[in-house]
Amino acid sequence: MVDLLTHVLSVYVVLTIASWYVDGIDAYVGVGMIGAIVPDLAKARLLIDPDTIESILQIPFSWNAFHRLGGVLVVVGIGSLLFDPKHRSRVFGFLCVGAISALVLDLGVIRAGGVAPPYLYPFSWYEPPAANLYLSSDQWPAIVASAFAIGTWLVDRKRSASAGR
Amino acid sequence: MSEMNLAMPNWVPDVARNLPARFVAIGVLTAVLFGLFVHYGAVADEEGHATTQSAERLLASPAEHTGEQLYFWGTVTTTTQDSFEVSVDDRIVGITGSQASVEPGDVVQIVGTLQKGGVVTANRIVISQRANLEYLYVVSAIGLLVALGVFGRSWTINWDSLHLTERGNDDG
Repeated sequence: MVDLLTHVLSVYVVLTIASWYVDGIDAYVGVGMIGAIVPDLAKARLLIDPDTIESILQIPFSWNAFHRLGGVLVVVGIGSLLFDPKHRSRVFGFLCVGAISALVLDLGVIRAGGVAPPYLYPFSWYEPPAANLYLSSDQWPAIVASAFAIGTWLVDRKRSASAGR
Repeated sequence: MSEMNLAMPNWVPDVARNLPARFVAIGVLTAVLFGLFVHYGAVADEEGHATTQSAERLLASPAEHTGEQLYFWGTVTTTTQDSFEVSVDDRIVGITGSQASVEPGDVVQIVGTLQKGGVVTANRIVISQRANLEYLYVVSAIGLLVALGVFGRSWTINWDSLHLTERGNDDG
């Protein structure tokens, strides 16, 4: 998976630009950015080894379900229930936008095997072809995303100032 | 702000009956999520590929699978002039046939052919250098803070209703 900074800044850029043309979604830019974190919850394996959980509970276990569509939808569902009911449907949508954009960006990761994992699990085991554009540890995606994010932030500030917000 | 309780059948304990519907729904979804962790762990291999050959299974019995192709990730443990070893789960696997320059601590993706004795002849290697992996963790932590910062500018907790609400625009 791409670094988390690239994920959240990509969502920031897309949703901030969208907010220039669609009223009432400014507050949801941050929601979408939180959504972009959801698939990376699979990194919980760095904190709690799944083998340890398997040995304690005597059942198979993998954090990777966080990084699949089914896990994403369940976490997004839990997340939207934390919000005031009048925001829930929109929050669910924007969390999905962020999380799915993270999965799409991860299709670009270089895979020696030539295919990405089955991101559509549990709906499908289809393994899409990897685009082989970058390594998770490459620095240039975060640099490019940061440059776009700073530019977007500057334009957004200018628009807000001229609108008297 | 009060919430309606779920209309529950008689056999549901009073404790659950008195919980707001929201917390019951969160509990159910958390159970579903745990089910996905278990099911995925049962059916997918370590790299999450369910339909490709499981390297774990092939490496466990190399004599039966000599000559077969496999794909796995590992961490470089030792290097020599023309080979190196990687740690894959709890197993140490020798890698030959690669001119790639690797250092201990690097993470490598390998597509190769299993040889007698469990050694793998690499056909393709992708290397993530250790220093870059440290960068990945640092920059990802920054990403987490940025997301929380932008989110916190627009949303806050309403402690009365235990909901996240939009700053300045919501009642309560």
